[in-house]
Amino acid sequence: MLDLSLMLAAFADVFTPTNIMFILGGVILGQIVGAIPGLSIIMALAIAVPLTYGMDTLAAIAFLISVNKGGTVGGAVPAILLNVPGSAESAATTMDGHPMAKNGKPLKAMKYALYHSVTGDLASDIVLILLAAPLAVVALNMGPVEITALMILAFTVISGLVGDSMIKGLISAAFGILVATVGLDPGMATPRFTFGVLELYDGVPLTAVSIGALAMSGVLVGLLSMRGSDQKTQSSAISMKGRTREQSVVTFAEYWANRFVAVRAFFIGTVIGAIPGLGSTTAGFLSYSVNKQAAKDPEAFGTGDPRGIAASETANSAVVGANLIPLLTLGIPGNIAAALLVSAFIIHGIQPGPLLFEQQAQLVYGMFGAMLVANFCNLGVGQIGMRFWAMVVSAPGTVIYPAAMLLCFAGSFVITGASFGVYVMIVSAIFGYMMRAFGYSIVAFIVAFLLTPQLEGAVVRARLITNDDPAALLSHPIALALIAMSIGSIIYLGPRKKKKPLDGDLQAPTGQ
Amino acid sequence: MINADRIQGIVVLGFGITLLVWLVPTYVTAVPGNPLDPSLFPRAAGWLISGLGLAQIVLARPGGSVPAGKEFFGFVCFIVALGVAALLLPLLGFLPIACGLMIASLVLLRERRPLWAATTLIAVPFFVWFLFTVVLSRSLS
Repeated sequence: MLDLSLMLAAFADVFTPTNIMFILGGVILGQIVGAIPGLSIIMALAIAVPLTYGMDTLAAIAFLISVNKGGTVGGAVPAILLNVPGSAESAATTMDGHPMAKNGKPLKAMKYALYHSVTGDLASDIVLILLAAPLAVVALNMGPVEITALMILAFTVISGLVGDSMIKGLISAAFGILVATVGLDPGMATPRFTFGVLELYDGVPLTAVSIGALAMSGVLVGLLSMRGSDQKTQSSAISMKGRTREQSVVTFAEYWANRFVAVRAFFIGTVIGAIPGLGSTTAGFLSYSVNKQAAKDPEAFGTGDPRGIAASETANSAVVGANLIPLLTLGIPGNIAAALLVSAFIIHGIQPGPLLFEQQAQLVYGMFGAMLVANFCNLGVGQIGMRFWAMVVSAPGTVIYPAAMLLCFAGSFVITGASFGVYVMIVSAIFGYMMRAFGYSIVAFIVAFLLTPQLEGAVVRARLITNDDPAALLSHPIALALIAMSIGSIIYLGPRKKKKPLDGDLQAPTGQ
Repeated sequence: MINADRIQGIVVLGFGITLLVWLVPTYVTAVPGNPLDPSLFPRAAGWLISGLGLAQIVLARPGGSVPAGKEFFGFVCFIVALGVAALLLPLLGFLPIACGLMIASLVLLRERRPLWAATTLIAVPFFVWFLFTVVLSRSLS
């Protein structure tokens, strides 16, 4: 049951100058990073997590969510101006965004992208706000046996959907489980794999692992690709100078003309966002394809048609809110951005999941409020900043990548206040680089690393409840159904099935 | 047939067996039969890694790629630079280390344009130091 007074109090929490400042700062940072080809939103989020150490919980979460939202908008800028998506999420936007820019309407294309991105994001946030609490109530009725089965399902689905091979996805997840066991065990508090290193008794620091495996390994891939080529700057962007009003402004009538495309894209983005393992890139391409097929004149797509931009941007942004549904209701991060958000929750001593609505309701509704505010900030900042971000896309990689590397270095140092965090980050970067090079899923690794403590607790409780009797499973039909679904997903997404890698798997940075 | 996927499978299987035979018995306390057994998850991870490594050997797809030697050398250079920087950080402090790291990056990237080189060498370390120590009040040494 929604408590209106609590919701109002939580929304009021958002409107403090500090929180608004962090939301604005996050949106600006996200849009800038999104606009730089080669730097992904995930890198920005991983680097931004240590920046939140000194913040209060709501400000920290609001800041990270704003970075994510800003990045989705910013990613469209190079997609339109350079035909190179700033982030994988905006890849489908290149198909009509760049032709429209080449037709003399670069600012108009960016505004189409901005308006539809904010529309998709806002609508999906509203779905999250309406659905999360009721779904969490359902999730609360699940016992440890069901939670164990659910986690197994999450592992198999995520391992199967991300990356190019389910076996490699599962191997990545198994390594995530292994690394998560380092430190004192939760049951008897005996050390595991600590090798006499005192710092490892608390486990491997999640944030340092995230920075290393996700951000630093990507930065190194970018640095190495720059090293391999003579091209030290990005290709020149389409100029926005000397355009008429008609070429620069999107009227309400023009925006409204795409409403059916936007609605279809929103549904696709929201559904895909709510499924763990899938993400914005899939949503963008699927929505583009569906809308093209639904159009009376599909041949117009690809020539600078605004419907193409609306289809891609609405869908990829609709994922941002929806991917928090599994996180807030089940405690399972739907994608890597949600996983990084979990690390921020954990830093502030909060365990995401259905209990959040009972124990931290004001924080959750405050977060929802911050998400809504961030959408409007995204609109305002994008409206003003688009012209400036167009300059950012040409920034040379010889400044961008070393800066990102130094941010990773400093960020991992402040996690532990000593070089230990940097060492963990470096080892994780080596591991992440190898995983990228050989096609193993970093997403599956991070999600498994993140979920294992929860899974271990659930398994211990389930064993105590069932007295280690497998037959006791028969009295848990939901758990049986979930296990059957896990087996089904292994068969369906199985080892022999060749798939294209989906997003969140962070191959080499785009544009390189 | 030997291909990249199969070789990776052999390495994964080898690690899984090492885990089960040596690492878990040596570095994890085992209490068999107890629901709180601390070795349950490490052993499960070992079996999973071994089984999946074996599956990868058997079901390896043709092809697969490995990083080029030149790229891998560059990667090792950056990692060594980072490792040295981490070692020297407590001795020299953040700004000298950051400038050293930037010099290493510029050399490895062969950047010769003075303006951009100066930006990377001076502005970037100062910006990061300012962000963490002044804006966020976090110590970097």
